[in-house]
Amino acid sequence: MNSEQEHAGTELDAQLAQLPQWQPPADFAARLAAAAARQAAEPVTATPPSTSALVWEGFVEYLPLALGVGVLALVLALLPWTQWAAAPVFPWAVAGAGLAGGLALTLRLLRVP
Amino acid sequence: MEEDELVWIRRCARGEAQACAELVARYGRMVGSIILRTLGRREDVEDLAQEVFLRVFRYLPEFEGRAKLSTWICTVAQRVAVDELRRRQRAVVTAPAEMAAEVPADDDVAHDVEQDERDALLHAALAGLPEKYRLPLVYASIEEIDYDTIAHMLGLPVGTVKTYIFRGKQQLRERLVALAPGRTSP
Repeated sequence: MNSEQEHAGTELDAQLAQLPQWQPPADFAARLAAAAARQAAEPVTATPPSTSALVWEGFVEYLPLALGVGVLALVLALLPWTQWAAAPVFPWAVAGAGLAGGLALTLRLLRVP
Repeated sequence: MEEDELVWIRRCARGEAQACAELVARYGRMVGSIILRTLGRREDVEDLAQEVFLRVFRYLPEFEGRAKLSTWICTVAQRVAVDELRRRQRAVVTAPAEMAAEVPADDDVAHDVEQDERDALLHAALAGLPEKYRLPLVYASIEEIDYDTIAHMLGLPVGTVKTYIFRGKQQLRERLVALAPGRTSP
């Protein structure tokens, strides 16, 4: 690294160090302390849901999913798999789908900050 | 964790006003700065900082001391700020103008126009960086925060944080040059 680049780097660091900081208002700590005391004093009033409510909630939540899986299974069972599997393009299609899925997953993971 | 800190945390968890006020006084600036630099706008910082501390007080009894207290508070602040950022992604797009307004003004001192221009350029260039580079870079310039803390906040290895900061600075330099081709530095 030459001296010009070093100088530029130092100047950039100095500029970054001067980015604005937040200064809390004078009464910020006191207000929050009061809010914390109120929060700590609040009784826990929430009652746990009953078993039947939990069962019903689960039923309602998962029923569409279970129906969807059932329909999908039925459709898959009706497809002419034997005929398709015998086709020469079948292994290529499976390999291509796997590759595309793998690529999509990799790109998605790389985009995660 | 030191015994004194443990006692202090227990006092905060019980809602003792003095202990809570001490905690806010000690970490308030750091929490606010994390939020300010994540969002790039000052408007919502106070409300969000309050939310952070109320969460901290609520969950302090569950704090296990595996990380430093300051690191844990930074992580809570970062999550609250990033949740807010996700809610209004457009804040990032409007950040250059708003962050430029964050340059502290001092009525007693004549404004250094060139310095203001340089600050505005820096904010514009920062706002254009990808989030994965921008966040570690702006957090690293907060005095109280080290690389280990940033790694904990972002859930990344320390080496990755260092790499992101290095690449972030590279991209920032390129953007600054692109925004102001006449300038030779930084």
